[in-house]
Amino acid sequence: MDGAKKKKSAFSRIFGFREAGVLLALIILCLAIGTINPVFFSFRNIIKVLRQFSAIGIISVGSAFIIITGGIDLSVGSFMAFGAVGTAKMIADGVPPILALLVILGIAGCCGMISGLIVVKIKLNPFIVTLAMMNIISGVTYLITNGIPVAFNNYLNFLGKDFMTIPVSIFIMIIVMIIGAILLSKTEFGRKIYAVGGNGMAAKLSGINVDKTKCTAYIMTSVLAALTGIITCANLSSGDVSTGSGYELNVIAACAIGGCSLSGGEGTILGVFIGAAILGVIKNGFVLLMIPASWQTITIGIVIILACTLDQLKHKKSEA
Amino acid sequence: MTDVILSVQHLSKSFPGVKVLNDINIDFRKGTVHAIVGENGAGKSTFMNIVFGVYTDFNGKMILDGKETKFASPMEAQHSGIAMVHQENSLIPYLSVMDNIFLGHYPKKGFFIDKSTLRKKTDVLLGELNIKEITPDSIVDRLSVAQRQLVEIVKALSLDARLLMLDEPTASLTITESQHLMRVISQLREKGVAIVYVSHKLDEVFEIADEISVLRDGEMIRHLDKAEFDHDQVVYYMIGRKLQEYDSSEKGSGDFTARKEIIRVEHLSRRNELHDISFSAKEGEILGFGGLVGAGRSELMEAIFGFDRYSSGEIFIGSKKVEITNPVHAIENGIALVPEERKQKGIFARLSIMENINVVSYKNLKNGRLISSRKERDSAEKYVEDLRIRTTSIMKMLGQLSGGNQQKVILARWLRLSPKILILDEPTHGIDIGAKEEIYKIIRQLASEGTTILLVSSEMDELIRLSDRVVVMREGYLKGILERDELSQTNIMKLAI
Repeated sequence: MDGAKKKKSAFSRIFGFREAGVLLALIILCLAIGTINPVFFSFRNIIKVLRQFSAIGIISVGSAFIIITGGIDLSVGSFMAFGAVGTAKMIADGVPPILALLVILGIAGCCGMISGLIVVKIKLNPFIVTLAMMNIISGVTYLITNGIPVAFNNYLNFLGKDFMTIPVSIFIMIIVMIIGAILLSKTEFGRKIYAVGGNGMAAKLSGINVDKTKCTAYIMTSVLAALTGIITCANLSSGDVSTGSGYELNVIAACAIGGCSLSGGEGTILGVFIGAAILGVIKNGFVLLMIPASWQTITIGIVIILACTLDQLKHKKSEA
Repeated sequence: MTDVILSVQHLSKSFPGVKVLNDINIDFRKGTVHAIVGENGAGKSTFMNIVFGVYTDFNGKMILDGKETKFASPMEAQHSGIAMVHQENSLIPYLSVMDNIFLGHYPKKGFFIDKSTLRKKTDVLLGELNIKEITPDSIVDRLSVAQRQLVEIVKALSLDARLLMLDEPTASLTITESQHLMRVISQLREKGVAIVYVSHKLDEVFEIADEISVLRDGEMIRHLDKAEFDHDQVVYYMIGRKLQEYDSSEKGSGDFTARKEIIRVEHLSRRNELHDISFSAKEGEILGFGGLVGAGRSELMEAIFGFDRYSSGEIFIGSKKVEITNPVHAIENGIALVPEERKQKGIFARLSIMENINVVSYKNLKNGRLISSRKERDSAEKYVEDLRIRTTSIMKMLGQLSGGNQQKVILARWLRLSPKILILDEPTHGIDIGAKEEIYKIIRQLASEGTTILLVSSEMDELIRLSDRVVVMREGYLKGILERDELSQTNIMKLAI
């Protein structure tokens, strides 16, 4: 009896955590693809997959913070383009690369703060605010170079290269994920994020500065998006206005698959990582299996619905 | 017994692992108000949900007009003449009253809604119940809670309901509003509608009901006819034991002259809501705040706590004047607030009990910059034990606990900070009698340890039993402060109305 109990608790400790469902889906997906085409499991291919979803992975960390507070950010794609083009242009104009990088991240942070302030002070819907911000930032990015790509050749290119045969962007993603996970689960700030999204009024009455907490999440996300844009730019050796187009929705998809509730209050960085990984594996797998790209997006759509349904069922069960 | 509309026989229902209803037999008669009373968790809601067709999986029979019936959904129940007004509002805020009432069964002209018939029908329904203050075109969002409640009832009746179930209909109404509702219910009774009335407020039940069924732990304990109504007996049946007699020695000496003054409020005002409020409270004193719902008591507490700003006036903590513009300042000054609406303002339903307890005190639970899992767990476990919060695990989501246990968790949250001043706004609202007693005990214990308590309550018994003095408010004005020997229901009501 006692033994059975213990066994069960060990079992639930391993598989009972929130992300177990999507993790299982990821494993099955990998095994299926790998069985059909063993190339999938080669070191080179795994690295390729990781690099492919590293951009989404990095931004998703910020987006997860926003979504857990009950918000949403549609402007991350345009911040990527801004990061890429802005940095490339400043460097081309003679600004030292590291300074250009810091200035652009700073500007992105300020713009994120503006989004955040509009959300908390004027109380506009974050969907609308970030939709507007997306348009503004895209326009500004276009203005910088009139849409012409700018060459990017300086020591910052290492961000897009390999380090010990592994792309630097993967290291960056892992570092950002670890910091994000610690912030969210181990610090007061993280707990505030959950509280604000779970019940804003109760959070305010618990002495939490709701406005500041929300704003911080928007600032973080904009900075991470701009940073990702710079990494992409370093990889392509060119700052292009089309960088990051469509990323805003992929990032939201990664968060949703990973278990972030769009009504706020729920989500983990581990979940978001798995969500981003599933997107990456589907993209890579479909290429390996030579399935037309249109099926990729159809599959991603189905996966989003399945993942969220799974979450919903779990809630029903735990609330009964 | 031809006047029996619905007869429920041998009804039992289990959820995985728990039997929530066991062999219940009740008859509902035409033109009769049948009250169902019981503590939270007694099975009242489950019972109503079965009758209304929400739960379809149960044992037993339901006999409607002499024929055995089984509803597959609430819609079927409605079409058979059974209506239910839920505790939570189910109206659509930005639609008009008539739209809300006839949503789902609009009168039509071809493809289009027949607006003039719609308006006429709504007028008739409102007129039948003498509801004059609501027009068919009023937008629900602009109505008061009480008016919405009436719209809910009219909506339920629009389908020619013969059996109307009301779940805690007066929970958020003022006394005058409740009285209006009572009149409406009486009219329905005269029209021959069978009414099922579920409420915690026994006074109200005794006033309106013709018969009472008492449930406890899913069992039908007793059925009483009007002649057998007796407050103490009903309470005894509900909780299965005698309620503790009120004992005046529960209070301290009541002499606070030598004690330190902890909080003094002077001429506090906020436009249209609070007018020139002044009072003070001493160390270890329980200062009650009486008045009708809407008298401005919650607004006053939220102003003191910095949730809403006050436009003029001064607050002194100790002897120091403080400027409180947000809850952070209040907490720094040793003030804690357990707010009125637990669900909206208190709990984080999806977060664990542990996180709910610790949410205001992470500063003290860190190792360096990071939160220590051990400290966090220990802190929560200590309070779960101290306040006897009933749960299998501190990791359970708070939304899964009963109201009484949720309230204890919120108390724990604030006790964790050892506040000098604890503001309790309707601390036992919607909580069953057993848990209430435990919360009273905690409140008294805190006061005897020197915490100053500001207690807002609409329950007279509670206010009189716990308070050392009572401030009575009406429409945003302070109408008087009653000393301990003046405390009585009549004295409070005299000032409150």
